[in-house]
Amino acid sequence: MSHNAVKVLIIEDDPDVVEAMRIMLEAKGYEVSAAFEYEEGLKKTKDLLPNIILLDATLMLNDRSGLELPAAIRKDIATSHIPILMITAINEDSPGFEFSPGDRDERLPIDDFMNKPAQPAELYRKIENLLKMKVSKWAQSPGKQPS
Amino acid sequence: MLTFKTTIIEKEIKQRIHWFIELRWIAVCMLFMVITCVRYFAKLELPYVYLYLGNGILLLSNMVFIAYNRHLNAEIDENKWYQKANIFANVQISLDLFILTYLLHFSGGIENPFIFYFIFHIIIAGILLTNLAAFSQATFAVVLLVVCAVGEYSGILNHYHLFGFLNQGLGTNPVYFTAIFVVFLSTMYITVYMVTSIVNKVREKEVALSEANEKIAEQDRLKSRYVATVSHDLQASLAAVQSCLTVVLEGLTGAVSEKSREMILRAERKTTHLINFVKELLDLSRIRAAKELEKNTFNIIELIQEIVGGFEDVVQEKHLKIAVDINDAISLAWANKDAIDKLLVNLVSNAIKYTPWGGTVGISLKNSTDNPGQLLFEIWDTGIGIPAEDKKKIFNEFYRSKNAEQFEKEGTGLGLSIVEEVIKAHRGAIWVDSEVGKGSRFIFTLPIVAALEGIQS
Repeated sequence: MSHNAVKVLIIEDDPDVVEAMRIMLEAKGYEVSAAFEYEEGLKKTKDLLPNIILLDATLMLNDRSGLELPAAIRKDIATSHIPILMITAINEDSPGFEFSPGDRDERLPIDDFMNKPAQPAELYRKIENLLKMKVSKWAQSPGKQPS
Repeated sequence: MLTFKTTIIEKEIKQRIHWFIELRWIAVCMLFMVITCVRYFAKLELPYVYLYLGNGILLLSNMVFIAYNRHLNAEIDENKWYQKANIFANVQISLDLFILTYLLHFSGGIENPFIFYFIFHIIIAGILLTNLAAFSQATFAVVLLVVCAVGEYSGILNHYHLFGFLNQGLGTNPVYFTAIFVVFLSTMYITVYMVTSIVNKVREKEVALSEANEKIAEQDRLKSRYVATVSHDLQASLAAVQSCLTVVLEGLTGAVSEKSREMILRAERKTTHLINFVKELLDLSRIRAAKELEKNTFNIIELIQEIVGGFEDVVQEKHLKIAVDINDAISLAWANKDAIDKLLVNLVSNAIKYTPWGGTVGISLKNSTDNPGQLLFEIWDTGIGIPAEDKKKIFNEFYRSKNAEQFEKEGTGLGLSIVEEVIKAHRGAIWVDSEVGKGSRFIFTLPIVAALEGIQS
């Protein structure tokens, strides 16, 4: 797979952050799309079927938090395989600390996370790793419905 | 949930029961001495067998009380404990009143001046028991004395006259009898009334004080939550600024002139400083805003290794030696992992930051021998050290010692405040050994050894 074909979807409500990340990613030759809120993020995920999603953990619109989006993406068999890299606020050592440790994975099925502000080198490295993986570790196996 | 008032009374009952038992030992000894003195020096004719018997009963009852008190302290359910302790205190006072009446009966009845000793029991009852129970104990004392006096007066009970002390048989004198009875009765009730009114007032004040303290603590948490919210909003914008500056500095937007690059670099450095500052402020206020930190079980050795690994680059850059000494028997801890992570990261990064090129930074972890169940951590370095006069101040917010500021310009002065808060939240203790120019050693204990119940829950 050449870099030109790699589609990255950024779901982030701050246009300034989106712009900075777009420049970083386009410099690597990725094809970048952006969504600025929950519904738009879910719709673009289905329409574009990106190779990877960068999701802002602090995304919050109409009472729907970015933290709920990964579970929604995994629910749809068409999108459940897409790796998600969560971009968290500056000092969250583990995203989803609001959830109890017991069901954190179930409620927040992401593949990796990194802290804001995204440093290009780290961002590239994490994206490369997830692209190598191709399929999210939370992907539904065909025919199996999520519990 | 227990109210403040019950908590205060509960604490009092616990102390007083202990105090009762101690006092009773003194009473047993004094009583023995008084009986013996009266027998051999005053040479009064009294039924000494019964008096010594009373003394013996008091001694025995105290032994039974000690045994029961041990049994009572094993009670885990607080409500049940309180109920039982209450009954226990009542039983003790009643039994003491009974033994006192018994002793008085065999030593002159109401003629005996020790009749005043009833007042001690009534005062204690007034302090310790509910108002109703205190009045009931006073009534019990009056009934006991009336039974004794009327019994002796009517001839149902034998009257042991104090010949040699009082030559007139006052116990059978109706005027004296009535006067003593009226004065005794009123003394008992007035005493209970006075004691309970004073105690109620004091207790009300104590409750108000506890409530006020709790309110202040809550206000403090609210303030911390406010700071946390503000910091959180600040950091989002700062992160965006940082990202925008980064793409320009990395040359991703095209060539930048040397002068522009330098200015952007300055802006980027200041932004980094601000982000670190806000990050630490947020860490601190998050810990403070929490009434109780959520705890879970995790491998403490893995955490330390992860943290040390995170500093690999700077350790290599400064040619530092890292000495890790961990007792292998330790593995699981029961604590708030994020908070312990922040605590260790802050101390290790300080050690690395303030140790010059080629020095050593050490981390050791073992079970505390002085305090079983506690982990003993030591994080030490061969760095610049802390001046003696600064040792107490370094945990204060925003405080940085002069030599630290000279050695390393960047710093928020919040790192050690976070350390102290995390230790406080886990009920641990920290102290510092340091000599300027030779190094520092931060030693702390944390009661976070994972017990079986911790793992299960």
